[in-house]
Amino acid sequence: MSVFHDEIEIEDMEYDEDNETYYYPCPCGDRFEITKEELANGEDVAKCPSCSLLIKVIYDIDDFLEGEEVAAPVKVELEKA
Amino acid sequence: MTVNLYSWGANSYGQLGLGNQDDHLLPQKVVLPETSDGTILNQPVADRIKSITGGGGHSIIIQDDGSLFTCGNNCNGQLGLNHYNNIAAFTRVNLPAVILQASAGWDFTVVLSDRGEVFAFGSNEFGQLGFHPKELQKSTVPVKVTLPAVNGNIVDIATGLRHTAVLTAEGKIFCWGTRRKIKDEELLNQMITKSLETPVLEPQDGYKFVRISAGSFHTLALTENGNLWCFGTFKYGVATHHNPPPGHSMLVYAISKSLFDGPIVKIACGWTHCLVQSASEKFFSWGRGDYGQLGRSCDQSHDSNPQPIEDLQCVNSLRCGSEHNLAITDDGKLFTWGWNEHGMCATGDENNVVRPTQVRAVSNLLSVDGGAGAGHCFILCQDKD
Repeated sequence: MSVFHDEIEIEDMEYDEDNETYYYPCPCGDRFEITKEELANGEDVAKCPSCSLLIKVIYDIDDFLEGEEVAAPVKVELEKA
Repeated sequence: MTVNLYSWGANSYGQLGLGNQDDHLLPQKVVLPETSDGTILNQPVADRIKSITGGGGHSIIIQDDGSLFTCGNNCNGQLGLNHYNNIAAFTRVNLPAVILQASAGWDFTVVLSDRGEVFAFGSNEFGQLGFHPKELQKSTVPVKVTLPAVNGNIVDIATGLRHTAVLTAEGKIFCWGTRRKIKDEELLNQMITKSLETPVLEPQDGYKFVRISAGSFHTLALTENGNLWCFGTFKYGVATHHNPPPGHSMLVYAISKSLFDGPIVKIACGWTHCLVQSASEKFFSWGRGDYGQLGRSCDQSHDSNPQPIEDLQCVNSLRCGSEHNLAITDDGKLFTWGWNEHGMCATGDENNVVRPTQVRAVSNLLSVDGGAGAGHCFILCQDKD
């Protein structure tokens, strides 16, 4: 079980449109990061590239699935099953 | 005797001023010119350093002539050098004024001149430079912040992750910047205009505010009669017995004086913890404590009740990083405690330090100043030749 440094709402993170990544300040001076794609896949742990700390991102996955191509394969899988 | 500057801790952006980007678990000597013959140098002179402070990943030195030097992360122009390149060595900032004080936020810098003017540079994404973000997204050069309602000088400045607070000679406090990005531009414009015109706090019962210190999203303020107030948004018990629900609008609270043994004389804030010194030379801490930030026992992730730090005495300067702390005693000893993953506590390892512990790696400290950024530290030492 991971111990999170903090739980942060997605609205408190900074979004970089160029690399489609959300960022939040890490106390080491670097930044926690998580991509839009990771969020759409249900991943909610943002990592800092410079240290062991992790944050849990609070967000609504529906905001990331809407109009996204990632939704389609899930549907296909369900139909097969 | 030679004065030397030492730095240690996290160094992802060259914020230690050592010419590299490697973390250092023990203090390293910053190579600087030792003396100057009067010519203007692009680097600070070691024995003329007046103060050192740090932001998220950058560092600021003020020299005794009021000149400013920066190094480290420059992604949003927070070094004030008219470009966006990270610099791993302290470099002179071109400023139109003599600088007395500097405060570094996450990715921006605010400085105070000898005429009581405020200049700012770096990110303005949250309005933290005192401008509407649509007019000024960021600035790589110092811009002057104008407060229409202030008569006279600014006397103290403090910065958090995304906000700036200033104290006027009249003892009023103004604060600008927002916790999260406001998409409604009209609303944001109104908020910034209001924050530059309307004080958050004014003198209480005739007693002025005399000192401010900022955490990540809160600010602690001290009145001349030793009472504490806090404003901002709060997590981890930083507002002591006030326990507001999570939210994003700014709240203002008086902190009860019954929590301490008398008037408070010194304040310092980490990101989510607070340290204060009372007139009777006792130190109290509260807020987040799960990395040892409080310098005393703390059973939970945080403690909203101020409690004394027993192991700390005769402290001349008290500095907080994000989750670590430095105390320099009157007789020139350095004590550290808190989060230590990048070696901020200078113990030579990465184990968190839960009680103030003397750093053996440096001695003969000048008891003038040290400084801390989010995860990095500085100290001035008087070394025997």
